[in-house]
Amino acid sequence: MVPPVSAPERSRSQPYLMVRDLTVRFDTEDGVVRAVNGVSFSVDRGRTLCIVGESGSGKSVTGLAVLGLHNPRRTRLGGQILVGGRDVAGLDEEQIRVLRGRSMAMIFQDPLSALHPYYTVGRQVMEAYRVHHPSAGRKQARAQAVAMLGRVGIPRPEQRIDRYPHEFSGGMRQRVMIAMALVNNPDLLIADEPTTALDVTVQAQILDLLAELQAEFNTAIVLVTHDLGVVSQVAHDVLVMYGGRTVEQGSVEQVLRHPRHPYTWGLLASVPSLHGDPDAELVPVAGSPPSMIDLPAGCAFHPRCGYADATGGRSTTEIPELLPAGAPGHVVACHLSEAERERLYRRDVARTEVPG
Amino acid sequence: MSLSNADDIALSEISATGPQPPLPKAGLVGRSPGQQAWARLRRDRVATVSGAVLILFVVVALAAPLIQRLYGVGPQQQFQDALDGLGMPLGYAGGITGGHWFGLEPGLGRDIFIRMVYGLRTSLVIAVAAAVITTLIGVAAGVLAGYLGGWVGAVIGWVTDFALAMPFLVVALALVPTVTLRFYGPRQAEPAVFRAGLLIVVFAVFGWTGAARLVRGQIVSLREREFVEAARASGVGLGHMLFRQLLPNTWAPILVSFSLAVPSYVTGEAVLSFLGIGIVDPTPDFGAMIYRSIDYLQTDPTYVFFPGVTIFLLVLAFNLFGDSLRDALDPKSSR
Amino acid sequence: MTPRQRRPEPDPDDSGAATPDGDSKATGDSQTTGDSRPAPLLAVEGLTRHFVARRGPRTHSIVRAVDGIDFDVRPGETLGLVGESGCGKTTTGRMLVRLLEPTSGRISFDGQDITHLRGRALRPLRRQLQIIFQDPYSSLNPRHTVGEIVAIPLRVNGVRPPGGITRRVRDLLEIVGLNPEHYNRYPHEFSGGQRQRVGIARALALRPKLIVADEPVSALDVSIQAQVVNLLRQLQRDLGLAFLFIAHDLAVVRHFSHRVAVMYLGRIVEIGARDDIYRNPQHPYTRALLSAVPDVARIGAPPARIRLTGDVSSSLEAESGCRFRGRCWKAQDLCATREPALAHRDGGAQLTACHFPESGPPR
Repeated sequence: MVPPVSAPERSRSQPYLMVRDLTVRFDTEDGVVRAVNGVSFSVDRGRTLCIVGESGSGKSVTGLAVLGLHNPRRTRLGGQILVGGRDVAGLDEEQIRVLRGRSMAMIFQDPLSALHPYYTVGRQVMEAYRVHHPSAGRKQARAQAVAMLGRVGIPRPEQRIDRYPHEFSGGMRQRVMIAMALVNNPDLLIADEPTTALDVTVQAQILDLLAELQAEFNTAIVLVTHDLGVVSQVAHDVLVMYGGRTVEQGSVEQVLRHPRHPYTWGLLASVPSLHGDPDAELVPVAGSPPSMIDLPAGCAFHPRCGYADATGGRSTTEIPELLPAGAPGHVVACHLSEAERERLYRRDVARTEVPG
Repeated sequence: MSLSNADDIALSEISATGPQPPLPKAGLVGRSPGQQAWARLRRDRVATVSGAVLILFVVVALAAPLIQRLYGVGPQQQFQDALDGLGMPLGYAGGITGGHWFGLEPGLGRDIFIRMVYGLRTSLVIAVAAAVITTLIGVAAGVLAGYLGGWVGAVIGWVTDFALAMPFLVVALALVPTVTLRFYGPRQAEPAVFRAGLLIVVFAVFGWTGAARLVRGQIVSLREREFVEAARASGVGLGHMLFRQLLPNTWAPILVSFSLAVPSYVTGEAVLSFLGIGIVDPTPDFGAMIYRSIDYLQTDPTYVFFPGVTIFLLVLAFNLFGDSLRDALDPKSSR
Repeated sequence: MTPRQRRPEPDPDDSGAATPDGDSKATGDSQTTGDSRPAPLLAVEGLTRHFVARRGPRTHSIVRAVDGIDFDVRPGETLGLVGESGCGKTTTGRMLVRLLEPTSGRISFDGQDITHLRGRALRPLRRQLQIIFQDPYSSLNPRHTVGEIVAIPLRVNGVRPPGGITRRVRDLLEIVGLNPEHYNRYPHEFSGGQRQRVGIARALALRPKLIVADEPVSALDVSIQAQVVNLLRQLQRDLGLAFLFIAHDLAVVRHFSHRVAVMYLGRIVEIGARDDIYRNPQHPYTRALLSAVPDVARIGAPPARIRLTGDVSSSLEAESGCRFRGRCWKAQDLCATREPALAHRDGGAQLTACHFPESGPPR
């Protein structure tokens, strides 16, 4: 894995994926779900952005929206999604389908429900290939599929290719999904909790595999996860979402080592660790994640924030802007002043943090 | 890579926090899943209209004697003087007048409207009774087969398959006259109640299998849920398990299957009566009326029109309502 | 980490691979090593559960989900049971609360053999031994209010608490950190973490001595996970509860367990005090598990990670020998022929089932 590069280096050329002010809304019978509210980010080829958040933070919807996998009848999409310089936000289903697979692909959390149970894995990988290589013959597609299955670490791919998804274990199915996603060599890969359903030893294998493939194909990866451990291993950049908004964004070093938002502090403090005092109480974030239909006014995090009172009432009325904090490239949406946060961080958080 | 998968992810992300986790002021008593379904049903236009039509039909059927008194004509009353020499009703459109709203029957000259009111009554009583009985048998068989499994489940499964394998019409055609003959002599007129009861029994013998299979499937999938294990770990008995834990979770499909069973028995009863093994003539009935009207299809089309349209509306309303009910009770949105 | 040279196995192993003899000696061993802990509340010996898996109309195979495990839980302590999916940890939990019938072996609770209790005789046990489930969505009946859910154990067991059932239910909801006024609400109106609290209140209703917690936090968000772990720890302190804490997350187990057992394919491969397991893991599998846990404190992929190939199901269903040998980097001929017994190895304080144990802090 490439060590994280410092932020300024990124702006040399146009990033492969640029999302500007993305908003996603769903109409449901309980009301309008504001799943994503003005999220912006960019990912270069060869780099990994992790979108972190709890359930109901809008992180998965963000990933789906980039691929145009939302249901167009129920969803209202706003903002710009530039993939390789082309805005895909307004494209219709047919145009997006051409891009999907070729330029961008997706890996889901549950490979069993994403693979068709009645077709062999080989047929599914071949189909993914032939969609974008219509001139390719059966033989060529099959060779390609075998090669890809072998590349993602499936032993004896020439035999396993004729097996059905249920004959594979969870880790192997996830490899099949990755093979399907990467068979057309897409420039952008979106992975939605790709390892959440897997055992730790298999998770480690899959994360290693993604890193290897990224190095080989120079893919831009957006990895959606709730697991900060995974983030610390694979991310170059991190975007922390809460209530459909970005609350903190920066390089992995900045966000995990020098977090500047009380929510990120809370997330980090609540993760149980293999180091430090095992008898110490964990420090959870109080309360529950908000409902996306009825977001709290002002800063969505204020009902759970220990420092909301220190903002002179602004946290309940104004939505905080995403402003630069500390090092370049690091942005935070919080009403507390930079100095105040620095003081609180040193007082309350820094000493509980584990030395790296 | 299907779209539905993506949809599920999006939906699960939205619903993961629940519709109202902060538990707002809405009162301290929560809305049960049933109340939610009711609210959804009331917002559904199709459900309201079809429901209103159904209620109208039921009220008419229940109030038949009252309608007879207000209308001033009985179902067996004959108006021979309003027929011409060939037995056809005088006047236009099958003899529709202010006194006979839907006209008169050719031949006997009975009033079609009041016979339909009573026919509705016969039809609904038989259909609802048959639906209630089949649902009860089906639920009992399905719950036992689903929860106990093992040899009980296997035996119930065989019986279900056996019942499904019997050709309904053939057995009904063979059975009904034989049984009738067994109880009443060839020259004896059997009472209408006996005929109706016999029809209900025939429907019950054949109809319970659908509900049984449905409920069995539901129970088998519920049995895997952790709340069932939790109840077992608390030491609950079989009765509590079936009636307090499992059955309340199957009401939705049971209600839907019930509401779709009624119209199928309405048509079934009409078919049997049409074939002459259901309700027979002096008793007012849709099937029997349509059977008689076939002879006059050319000469007096209104005779077949009114019973035909009414039975069509009745069945349509039931089916539409059943579909709306299914949508309202959809477990996915009431999880 | 050099492979230890082969040396003659100590006595306990001479009886061969995993005979009941060898096992009971190993367990006896753990109880005699300078151990002043009270008598076990729950003692499990040779617990086994086999499932018959049908492959076709005629052929079937036997899946040995749990294959002869021994452990005990003392009053007021937490035993963490760790392993990957398919290792048999959930089956073990279900057998303990008698939701599954053991194929063989013995479970005793408070000195009483409960292995084959049935019906009415099971009732007193149900009151002492409860379970918390993994899935906060499927473990609560959607048609019951939260109050009913918590009250059902009291009602079906004929418990009449002073002040009435409603009073007790409200107390329980308060204990687990829910608003007692919400007892009339339905599960779908609560978030995942709140539902898991309801499940905990239900388990507490009968005032059990031991709770089997089957992955109680793995379906929850991190921030909520910590809330629930803290709640369980607090309940243990306040009520003196013992827990069997089943989990796949080693970091969570570390924060809640006094002792830890690591399972692999139906067998316990290492069991001992928490600090011994985490500071000096001896079994290669334990080491691999620990090294695979991604740690927030370390940015980037760890350089010295042990990379296991394959997964649990790719290991052979071992007819003989060590079940882990197919994925183990230290496997030798001995591992294929003789199954290592659970014993003290290389002066380690814990019991390890490995012919060639490792030592030293994990990488």
